[in-house]
Amino acid sequence: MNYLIHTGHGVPATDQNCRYSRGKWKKSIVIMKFTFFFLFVSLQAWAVATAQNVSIQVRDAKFSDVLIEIRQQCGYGYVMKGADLKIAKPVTLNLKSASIETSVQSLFDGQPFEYRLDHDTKLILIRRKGSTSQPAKTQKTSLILSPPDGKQTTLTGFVKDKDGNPLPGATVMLKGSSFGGITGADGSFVVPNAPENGILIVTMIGRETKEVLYRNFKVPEIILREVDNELTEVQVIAYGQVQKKFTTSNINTIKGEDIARQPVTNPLLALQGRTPGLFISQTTGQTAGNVNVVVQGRNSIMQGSDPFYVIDGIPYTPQFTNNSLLGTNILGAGGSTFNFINPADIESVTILKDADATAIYGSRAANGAILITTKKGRAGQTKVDLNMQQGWGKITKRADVLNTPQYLEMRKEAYTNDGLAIPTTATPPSSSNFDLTIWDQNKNTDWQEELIGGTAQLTTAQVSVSGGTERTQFLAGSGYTRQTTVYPNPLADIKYNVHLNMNHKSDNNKFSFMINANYLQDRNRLNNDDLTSQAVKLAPNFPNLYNADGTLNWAPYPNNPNVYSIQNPLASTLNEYSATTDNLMGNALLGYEFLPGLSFKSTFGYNKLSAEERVLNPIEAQRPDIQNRQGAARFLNKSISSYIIEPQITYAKTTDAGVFDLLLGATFQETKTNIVGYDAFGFSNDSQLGNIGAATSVVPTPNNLKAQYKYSAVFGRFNYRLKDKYIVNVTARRDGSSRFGSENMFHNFYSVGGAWLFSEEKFFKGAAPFLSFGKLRVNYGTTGNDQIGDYAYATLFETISVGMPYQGVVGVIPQRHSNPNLQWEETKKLNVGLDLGFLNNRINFSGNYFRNRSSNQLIEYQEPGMTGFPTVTMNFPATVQNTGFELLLDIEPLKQTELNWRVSINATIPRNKLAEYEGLATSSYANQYILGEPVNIVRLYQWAGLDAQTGTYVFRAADGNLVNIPNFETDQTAFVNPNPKWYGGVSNTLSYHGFQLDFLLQYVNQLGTGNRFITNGFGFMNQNAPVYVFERRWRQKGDETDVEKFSTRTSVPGSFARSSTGRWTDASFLRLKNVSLSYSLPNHLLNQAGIKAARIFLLGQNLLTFTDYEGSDPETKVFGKLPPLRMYTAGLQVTF
Amino acid sequence: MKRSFKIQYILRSQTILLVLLFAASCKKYIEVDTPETSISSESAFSSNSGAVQVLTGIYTEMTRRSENGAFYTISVLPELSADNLALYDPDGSTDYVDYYRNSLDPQYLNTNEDWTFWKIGYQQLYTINTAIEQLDGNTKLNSLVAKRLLGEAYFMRAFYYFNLVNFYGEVPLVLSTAYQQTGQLRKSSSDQVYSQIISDLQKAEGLLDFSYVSSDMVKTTTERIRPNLAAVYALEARTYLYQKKYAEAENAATKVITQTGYALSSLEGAFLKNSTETIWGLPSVEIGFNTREAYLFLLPDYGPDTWQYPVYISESLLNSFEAGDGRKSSWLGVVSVDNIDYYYPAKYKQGYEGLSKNLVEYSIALRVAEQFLIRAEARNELNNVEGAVEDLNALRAKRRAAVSAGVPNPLPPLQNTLSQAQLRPIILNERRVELFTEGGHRWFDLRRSGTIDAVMTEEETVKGGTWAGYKVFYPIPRYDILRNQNLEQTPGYIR
Repeated sequence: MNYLIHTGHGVPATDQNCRYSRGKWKKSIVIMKFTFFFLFVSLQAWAVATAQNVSIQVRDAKFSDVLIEIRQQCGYGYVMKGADLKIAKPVTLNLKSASIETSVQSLFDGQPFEYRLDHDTKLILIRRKGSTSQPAKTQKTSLILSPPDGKQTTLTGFVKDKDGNPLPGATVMLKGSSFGGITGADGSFVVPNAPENGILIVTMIGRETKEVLYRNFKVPEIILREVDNELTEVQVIAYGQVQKKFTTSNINTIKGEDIARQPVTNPLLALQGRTPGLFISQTTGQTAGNVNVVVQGRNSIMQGSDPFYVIDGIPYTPQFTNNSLLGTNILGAGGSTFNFINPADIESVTILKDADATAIYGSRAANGAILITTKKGRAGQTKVDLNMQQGWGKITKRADVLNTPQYLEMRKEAYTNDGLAIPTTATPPSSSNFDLTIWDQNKNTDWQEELIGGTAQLTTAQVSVSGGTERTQFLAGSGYTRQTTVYPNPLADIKYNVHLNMNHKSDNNKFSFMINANYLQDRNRLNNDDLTSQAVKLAPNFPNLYNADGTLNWAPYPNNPNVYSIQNPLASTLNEYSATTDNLMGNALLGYEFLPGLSFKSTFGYNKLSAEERVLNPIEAQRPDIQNRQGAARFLNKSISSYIIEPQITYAKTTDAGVFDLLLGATFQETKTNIVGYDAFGFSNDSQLGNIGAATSVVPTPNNLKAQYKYSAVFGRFNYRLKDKYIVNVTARRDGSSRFGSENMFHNFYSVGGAWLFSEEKFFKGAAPFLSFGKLRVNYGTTGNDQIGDYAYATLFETISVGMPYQGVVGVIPQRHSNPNLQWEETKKLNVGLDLGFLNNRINFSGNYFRNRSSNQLIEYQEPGMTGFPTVTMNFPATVQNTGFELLLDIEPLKQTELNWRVSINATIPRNKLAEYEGLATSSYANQYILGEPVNIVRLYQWAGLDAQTGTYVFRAADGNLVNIPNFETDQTAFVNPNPKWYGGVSNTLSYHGFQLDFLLQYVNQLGTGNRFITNGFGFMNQNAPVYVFERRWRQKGDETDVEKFSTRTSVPGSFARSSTGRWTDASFLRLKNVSLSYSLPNHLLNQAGIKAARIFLLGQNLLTFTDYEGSDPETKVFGKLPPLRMYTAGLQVTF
Repeated sequence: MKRSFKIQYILRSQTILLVLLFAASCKKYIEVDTPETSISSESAFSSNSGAVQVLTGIYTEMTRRSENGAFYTISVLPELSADNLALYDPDGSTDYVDYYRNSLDPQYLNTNEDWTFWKIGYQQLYTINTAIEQLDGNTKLNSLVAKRLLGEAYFMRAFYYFNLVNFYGEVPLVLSTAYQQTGQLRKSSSDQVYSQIISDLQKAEGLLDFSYVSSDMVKTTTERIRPNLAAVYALEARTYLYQKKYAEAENAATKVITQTGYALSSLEGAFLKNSTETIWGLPSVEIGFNTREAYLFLLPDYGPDTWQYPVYISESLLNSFEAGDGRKSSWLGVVSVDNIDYYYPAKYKQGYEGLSKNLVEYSIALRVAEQFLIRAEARNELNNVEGAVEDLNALRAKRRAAVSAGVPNPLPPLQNTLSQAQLRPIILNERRVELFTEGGHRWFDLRRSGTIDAVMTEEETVKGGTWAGYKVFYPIPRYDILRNQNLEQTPGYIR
């Protein structure tokens, strides 16, 4: 006789194929008792959730037959007390995948019985209605699994999926020992030194965990079902893993497959809209640009709001120093270092938000933590994966600007308005009138088409080989990515990457070893300037950019060819920019299990991110009238290298009093930053610019840097779980950082969290049978922020780099005010969460309320320039509070074998405010911050439209009067909250046979600066205007309109209008962020060709945007910068 | 047996952990060295060379910087504000137009607000104050080196405050690096500032001598590029003159004029490096430049333009030269474009020359001719007309053009029969034609002489701006007003 016991190590037993036959009824009861006794005695802390589904369609069936059917489908037996089933009425039922509660409730409806469901014992306890006797109670007896009779031998068995296919790569362990094995390609396993009777624990990623009882060395066939309930997923957390069901934290995970569905080269962009509490915005459509990531709002007034990033256990710097030779027109020129992470190598991304999840990272995780796990090898047949994509991208929206007749009319009207004569071709040309004097009056060029109207190309190819045995697994992958821009040149950004992973366990399973390496080289040859601004602003009659011979046109004066009228915007494209960036990440883990449950392990990580940049300035790119034209070049080498060692001891113990998990560890980390730059001049030949030896003069650039950051800590975590219902989690960390003065190098952080799985309570099960899962979480703790520069506490002098040092001595100057008392910024976080599952977890809801209060704010306190420097880094008694609600709803409206539909909806309603600020009124921020309002509040003048008499803007002053020139201090009475009011996303997955359709909608409700007041007035030379400006301009006295009269001079009221309410507009949007359509080719076709799987897919990014926003893009909210591109890609994935 | 084995394991692992925990909370693991690219303030002043680097840094910054407010712009911006320089394309030149049209009002809207005499001046004063704090009583340095450097630091503080008080009228006296206190200072009256200048200069007097030293602070050199005692007296003379302490001004100027090694040079030689007329000059530290003044002023063949060569000599200054004044022919250049003559300052003649490290000219901070003019003015105010005329004539003799057919009597000597009142405008004009596009003299002289309102009201008709009396002083940058509640804006300006 074989026995199957489903305990699942906390995984709900979902096996519906319990094999109890009718004829073995009595025995079944014994078995059942055995089962629940076992559960009670050995594993009482492991939950047995109620995920069983019952499907019964019967008409006038016997009551007892239905009870047996239920027992067969899900293992719930029954016990009678003072009842006789003969008095039962016939049963008619129609249940489809109903929960046990629903099923039993339906069954007993109208019957002369009362019942009680006992989930612990998996019994339906039945008594006659009105009977005084208590429903049967289970009895506890002791259980001895395998008497130590000394008999041992080698066990063999098979692990299969529910369709009977072998499952390679499953781990089979002998419970209570370190013996075990991993299944081979045929699903078979061998466990040495097994006793005659015992329990096997079978685990496999992505499948339920099972405990299997065997007798007399005979192992039954083991069937492992796929985990299709996200609660059972294993979740990555700081320094470990936890089952999602038992987590006490506010954590979300994004799977690698969701990232792979998006044609982006920066993996952070693939997280947009997918998770509550995480707000990501792209600053520019230019690759290598920065990406803003904010978790649960901005905690710090001034300092970094970057979350703490950890890739495979190694902290990763999100910003690659501030130094870059990239043009300043490209926002965030330091660049996101995630451009140097290959999205295809990512297995999962986990976002840790509350103190419970992040306090163990101490001073670095006040802004949350984002853990990235790369792909690992798995045991099984060696397989080769190939993935290729080709994509095309265009800008999503163009600005509507004036054509030449309109433009010239605007210009002429400006002269007339100013009382000046309109220049003609007879007027002496000057830089203020070329467009009217020497440029073609009839030429009309669409500069947006010329400069940013191209098609960007994206090509990627990834190949990987993986496989291994039960003890050793490997994964090796390599890839290629090539990306171009919409600019009129063929420059490209090319990435090559390699990913390696190897896992090994010793024969006795005590020693484990893992090594991981990622390497990426990025060769960026893209334009170092953003041409969007020029594309929008250039006059439509601006001369052609190239001469007939292909050289740059500098548009000489007609009668004086030695004088030139333009700065050619394409000159910057000749200033060849190149950056070669290498990113090497290596990490290793060594572990040893001293005793069952007691392990020592240590991780070792190393990361070196280095870049060589250069910008060449050839003579060809310089205006011919510049005196002494000569070639020049700038070189910049920079690197950030860091190592980290984290030894840890873990101890896990399961006792009658609950499950204990203890972690103790320490961190040693050092990061070195190195920046060396130099300027080389005096190249006489453009072709020699890359050769520094050909320069006649080489000068080091300022801001060369060699800096060092050291960090060390001890940390611990204690987790206790009672009866799988009550969980307590306590973490603590003591941190030391070199960024602070000697008085304040150390600090302690802690958190306390708890969870209650109330759905496991008996009283709840009866009361709300529709509720299949319910958990309440509360946690509180502290984290810190040390995102200030290195050495901020010390006064340092830096050398002044010059070509000819003064009197031969290299001078030095102080860099800033020092503050030896610098301390941590501390964030106290409170998180209350509720997780609910309905209808057998087909509907899952997760809600969180958070309140994060950051105090002792580290700010760049503004000092008057008269003190020597405009700022000093200091702690300030201000408190910033972020509160908000995060909601996540996962629904499976359709769950059939052929057609499946999943919807995931998330929403975040954040609120940020300056909660406390001692002495705000007398501080240098009196005019910037408002108590109770967001820290990044924007103070504005009240725009009151246009004075119809004069054609100039007017503002409502504090005293209510209308003025042209408001007072800076008193009249900025309006304010605007630039933070999103709410945001979120809706993702859908539809699958039908081999087809799968995924699409993601992202929505943001926010305000932003639009395309009004982009300059201080209109009517200047070579400054084109949006069409609405032309249509709505003031022309004469009495014109009731809202656009100022044209003028050749800067408008002072116009410049105030730029910081007035009139510039702000609704920038809310709903965007079809991503669509993915894929088709998996049928297996029978592929198998003949020796292919395991093949899939073709079409992807689209930023496809549609619904918005009332007037500017170019509501996400970047900046006028004249390249917006995110609309991308389409087509691809193929093949597995051999 | 097996059990003790386990205990051993536990003990061992616990011991390892304890050691690690202890280690991690040890300061040693988080202490970092000063970055190699920087030096700490302690180490900067614990060696002779480090201390020299700090003071040299002050001079390097003076000559390296190019923003508005940098040292050489003292020869440009106030000249634009006054009546000596014209701006070619006012509407196109956003950097200069508000200085030119006296429209630094209300909030520096159209200028590069960030860079001002205020900002750069106080930045330099921070370094200077650091040097004074660290050098005063410093025993780690060679005493001669420390003494000399401290003298230079006091001199430099006086130099910067002289310019600040003349640009802004009243300024806060920041005399330390303690930003907690200095950030909330009120303005001191100009009298207090002048007293501080004199006090600093008197301290410098006791620390410096007439020799010029090389970068080791000991060996003498012919390079007149570090301030010495002559520079201290020269600045003293100027300060006393502005304070109307004429006897002291005369006395200080005399100390320079009579010192061996200082004399008026020829027209051609006055601005060459280390000329006998130079008291203190600053060599370029950037390859290709001799002086930034020449780079800006010397016009190319095609004349002025909007961006690179926006300024030239005003009509008003051009008309101030007497017949036969060699300064007009020698210190002005001219370029003719479309039949318009553009005159430009050509005191410095070395323009930008690619990669040249060959220095012929230094930017002059103090020179002897000014001392003659100071003494002439002081003597005249002391009713010593004869003495004043004597000094003026000494200068005119050196500035006289050759006799020609058209001008048989070039720049004749002045008669000492002139009255004190008659001599005043003559001295004012002499200062104008001698000291144009140098040191902001014209702008300050117009104010001192009380003629500014009349002159500027007239001049604005050319410039296209409007004049008001309060504009003699520049407005204080808005951000300082906002950050220091005790700081008041220059009277007349909207805060």
